[in-house]
Order: sequence, then C-alpha cells, then structure tokens
Amino acid sequence: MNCQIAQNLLSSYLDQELTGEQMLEVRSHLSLCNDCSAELEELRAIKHGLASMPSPSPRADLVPRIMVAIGAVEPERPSRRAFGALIATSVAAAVLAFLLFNVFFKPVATKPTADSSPAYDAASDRALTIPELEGHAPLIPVNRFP
Amino acid sequence: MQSEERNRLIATWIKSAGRTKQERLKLFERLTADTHRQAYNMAMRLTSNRTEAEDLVQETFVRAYRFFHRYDENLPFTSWIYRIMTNLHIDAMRKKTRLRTVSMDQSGSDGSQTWDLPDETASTDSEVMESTLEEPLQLGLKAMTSEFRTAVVLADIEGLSYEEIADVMQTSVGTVRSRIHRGRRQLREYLGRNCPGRYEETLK
Repeated sequence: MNCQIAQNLLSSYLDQELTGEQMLEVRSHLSLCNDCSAELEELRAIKHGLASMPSPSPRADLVPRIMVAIGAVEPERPSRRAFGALIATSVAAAVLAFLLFNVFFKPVATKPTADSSPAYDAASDRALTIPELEGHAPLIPVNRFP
Repeated sequence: MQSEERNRLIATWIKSAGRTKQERLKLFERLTADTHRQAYNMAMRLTSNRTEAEDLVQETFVRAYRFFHRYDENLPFTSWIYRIMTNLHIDAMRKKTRLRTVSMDQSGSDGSQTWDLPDETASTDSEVMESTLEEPLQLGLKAMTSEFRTAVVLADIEGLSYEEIADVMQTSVGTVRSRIHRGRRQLREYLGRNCPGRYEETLK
C-alpha cells in the first residue's frame, strides 16, 4: 500500500469503517510511514476535538415557539395523485393475476381433444363442473363420432 | 425504555388514525420536547449561529409535522429529523452561495461543489458575531462546504456510523466516506492557516 492510498483511508481507519483486511493493510503501512502516522494523529485530534465540544443549550421557549408554528399548519395527506396511482397499480396487478391464472391453469382443465366439436366441449365442460357427477363415468359418451 | 424506541412509539401513535388535532399536537409536542436538544445541537454546529439554528430547528419540526405520513418507522426518529434538517440546510446554503455568485464551475465526484472557502464577510455582522460560537473548530466547521460539514458533524458530534449517515443524507456509504475524509482535511487546513496557535492547542 502506498501513501496516497493509505491517506485516503485514514479517516475510515480512524472510524473503524474498513474491512478487517483493509484495517490490517493500513496498520501495516502506518508502522512503516511517519508522514501518514502524523496525518492520522492530526485527524484523530480533530475528531476528538469535535466530539468534546460542549452541547449548547437551547432557549427555554424553543419548544413552545415550535408548537405555535406547528399549530398554524395542517399535516399533509398523501396526495390524490399518489392514491390514484396506488389504485391503478392494484387494479393492474389484479388483472395480470387473472390473466396469468387463465393462461396457465384454464387450458389444462378444458383442453379439447383434436377431434372435438363445440357441442362436445360444452357437454364435457358441464359434466366436469357438476359436483354430483364426480367419481362417475360421464353421462355423455366421450367420443360421440368415432 | 430507550429514548429512540420511545420516540418511535410516539411517532407511531401520532400516525394512527382517528386522532383529533389536539391529541396529535399533544403527542407531537412530547416528541419535540424529547428530541429538540439534539436537533438544536446539530443546528448550531451547522449554522454556527443561535438565531439561524433556532429558525432551522423550528422549520425542521414544522416540516416533520406536515409530512408525517412520509415518516418510515424503521428509521430512528432523530435520523429522520437530521435528514429534514440536512436537506433544509444544504438547500439554504446553495441559495446563499448562488446569491454570493461564488463560482460553482467544478463539481466533485461526490456531488459536492468544490470551492475552498465561502466568503465569511458576507454573512457576519456584529449581531451575528455576538451569538456565534468562537471556538476555532466551530469557525473551521463554518468555513467548510455544507455537504462535508454535515457528514463530519453527523459522524464526530452526533456519533452516527457511516451507514446511518448515508441513510440521513440519502447517499452511498462511499460518498459519506469521501465527504468525511475531505471534510476533516478542510478543517485541518483551515485551522493550520487561520489559527495556528489555537490549532496546536486543539491538537493537544
């Protein structure tokens, strides 16, 4: 690792925001380089100085003042446009789900035979959808026109 | 219960439907009272000025109240407050900078403008100076680019991790990394150039 790369990583090193491998590489460079070590100490002093700055106290009337300002406004509601977009998305999702269901499931249930006629299809559909016929042989011949 | 958890809970209550305006205001007042000190500290570090800091805090909480439906309960409430404040502050600084017609020809890879130091004489008058923090570090913060200052304050004064700062500033961790490093370097150069005696004192 050269000085330029190490120096760009010094703040992240100080904040322990590097991967373990990068931390070791920077540490190894620092053990050999006085300039980078000196820069690290300066950055550390700045970080420490900022962290040690006293917190200023707000005036006692700051919260009442804020609440007076807030009392004069109304909370915004999600816009009609956003609500409209939500409805449109929901409808589109429902339509898509319906279409997908029909494409992937319905043809399996109603797949006609090669020699079927419309009359036959209608009859077999009805036979399939009458619950009491389940488990029985279809009342209508499977192949009316052999 | 930890303060941040409590804040989140109050925030959730305020969002729940069926509350009257008075009830909402009362709950929001609790939330404001609980977090305004942190918000004020942040605002003071960003603006270096009591009056500007109070205005910034007030505007931040007013916005938080107005746009409460956008608050995501997964984010700590203070982080959301910092986000609103940061956006307001950076927007205000950009407007101020445009007014001062400082050259903004160059733009850094992290989306920041790269001029060295703002014209301090344009924003300081005697009244402002009276209520300004005089510490060399605060003067150095004031001289920094607003994006860098915000990242450094969030890291070193508020103690946020890079990931949390990225959430607040709505940017990548890589950009935060760059802003903090360049910000600290700006601060170091400012201190070395403008208050060398006090700079050494600061480094002790």
